Amino acid sequence: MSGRTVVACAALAAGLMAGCGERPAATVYKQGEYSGKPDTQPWAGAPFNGDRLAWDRAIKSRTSHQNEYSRAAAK
Amino acid sequence: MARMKFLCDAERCIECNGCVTACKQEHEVPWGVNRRRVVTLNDGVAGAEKSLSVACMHCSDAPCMSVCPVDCFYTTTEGVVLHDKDQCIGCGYCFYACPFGAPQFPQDGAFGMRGKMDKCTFCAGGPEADNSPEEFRKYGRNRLAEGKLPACAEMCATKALLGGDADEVANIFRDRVMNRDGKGASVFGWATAYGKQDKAAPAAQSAPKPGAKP
Amino acid sequence: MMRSHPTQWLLSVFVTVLLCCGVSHAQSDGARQQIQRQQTQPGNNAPVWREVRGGDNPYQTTQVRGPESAVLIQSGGETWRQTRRVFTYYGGWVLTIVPLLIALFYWRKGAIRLKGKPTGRSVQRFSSWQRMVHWTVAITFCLLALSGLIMLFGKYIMMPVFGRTLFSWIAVLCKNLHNFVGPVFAFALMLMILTFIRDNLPKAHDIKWLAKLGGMLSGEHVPSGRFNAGEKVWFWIGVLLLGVVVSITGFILDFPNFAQVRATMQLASVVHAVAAMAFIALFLGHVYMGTIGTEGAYRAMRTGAVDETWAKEHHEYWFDEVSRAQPAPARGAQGDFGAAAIKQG
Repeated sequence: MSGRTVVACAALAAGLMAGCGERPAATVYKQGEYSGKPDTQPWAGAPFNGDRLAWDRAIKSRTSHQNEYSRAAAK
Repeated sequence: MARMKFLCDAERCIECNGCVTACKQEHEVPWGVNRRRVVTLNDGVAGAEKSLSVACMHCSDAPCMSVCPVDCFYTTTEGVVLHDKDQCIGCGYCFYACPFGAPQFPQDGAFGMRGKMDKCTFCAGGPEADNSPEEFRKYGRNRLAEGKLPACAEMCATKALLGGDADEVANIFRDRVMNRDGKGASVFGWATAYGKQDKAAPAAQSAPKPGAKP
Repeated sequence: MMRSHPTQWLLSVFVTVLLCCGVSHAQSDGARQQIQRQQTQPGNNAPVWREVRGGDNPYQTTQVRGPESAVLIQSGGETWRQTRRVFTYYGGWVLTIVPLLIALFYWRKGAIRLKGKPTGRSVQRFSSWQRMVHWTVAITFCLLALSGLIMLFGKYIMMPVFGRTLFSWIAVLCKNLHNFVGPVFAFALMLMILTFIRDNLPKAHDIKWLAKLGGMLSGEHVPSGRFNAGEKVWFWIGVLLLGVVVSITGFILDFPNFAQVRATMQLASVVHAVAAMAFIALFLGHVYMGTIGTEGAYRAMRTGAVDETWAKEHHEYWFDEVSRAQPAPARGAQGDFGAAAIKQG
């Protein structure tokens, strides 16, 4: 076997072995962190046009609207 | 900064399947795919019957994401677990791994071959442009981009199913527990958690109110 | 008056008892504990949740039709995920080290060459049916092994190079290839097992062959029948055992519309992957011995004929049998179709 073949085999083996390293098995979401794949943020589009605070307020009011104790108190 | 969560109150869920219907109608989910379902435990056993509406729970360390061979899942800034149907190969691994049985597969090929996975998106669509026809066709409506919450939670008649920012949902549930049956802390407190009624809640045991249920 | 007949009364009592039995039967341990807990600690649903979480509640219902839609929560998925991690890691190493070992062996020992001169007279070793079955299995095996390995390791090896979009195209191609070629492989494998099982039955001289490893290291000549003990090990452990195991588990995974539950598919997935990787490791050995490792072995399966010298050196007992049944002159014409290729080589 020629030297070049040995080098080629070693390079191929090294390339294949690169896949053998242990990877983190779980992806953990960190608060407020975006995983980086292509998607638009929910506040980017039509009704909010990039106004993140307005979107936050809308979601917060919708969420708290589910609490009928506070709704009863408000009336 | 919001972190989206679902919470289902088993004391309130009346198994009306309204959330299931709302989800189906909102996203025009195809036949055989159920993004949300209501499971009843001990149906007909008085005192032990509990119903619970379950869909994708948008886990922080989602097992589906870790087993996906093409890495098509992603988490949005709000902690919603979404996936890219253009990349999904329909292998079914996410269905094996998911504790809640959330991933669904339309059987659209020969011999029950799995199509592209479909699951609850927390009404947040997918990677396509928000509320575009392509996004609607693949993932359903993107209510989050309209400043709305998931249809199932918003239309729940008894407000058993809550959705939205985790802090806010927790506040609502705490309010509810404190107000429940006028018992509040005696129900949701040390005694409930650790069962030492003699110290923490002596009143409930030793002196039952007149007319109280045995 | 006729209605209050004793038998009818007895029947209604019987039906009532039966109904009560039915209800009490539907109550699980958790439900009974829950009813008691409700008395002492109203609002504490721990017994119900504990039972559901452990997967022990036998009484769960839903109106949604679907695979296991009544199961609220399953723990098997996490076990499957962790197991998959382990076999992906070690399987990756095995499939890296085995080719390296083979390369090392080839580098140190080289191919097994013919010692004598070729006679030019050929012997029929494989009929066209046998070769057809062998190559059907071989080609489908290669497709399945390649597509399976891409689906298991591609995320770590190919995706960083190709990117998600291109890799997902490759992966979806692999998945469909795997799903449709799989049954063809299983069918051809059955035919191959039936075709070759008779000549693979163990004989007494196989023990001697195994003890000396066929003279692979010493270079000593160890006679064998039509198949040597190494080939027989490949047949029984590789083709038969692993082949049948990957076929059965493959069918379980390939056709998810027979109401098999997730636990079955998780187990099948683990067994399938582990058996397939062992199969591939053995297959690499078989391919080495059948191509560059042994001079003239590939031509036997390619053309069906071998030279008499090759037959004598590798499968002496078989050659003796063949020459007893059919002396050399009578054989000549029959083996001619392969003889030309042998002379060229």
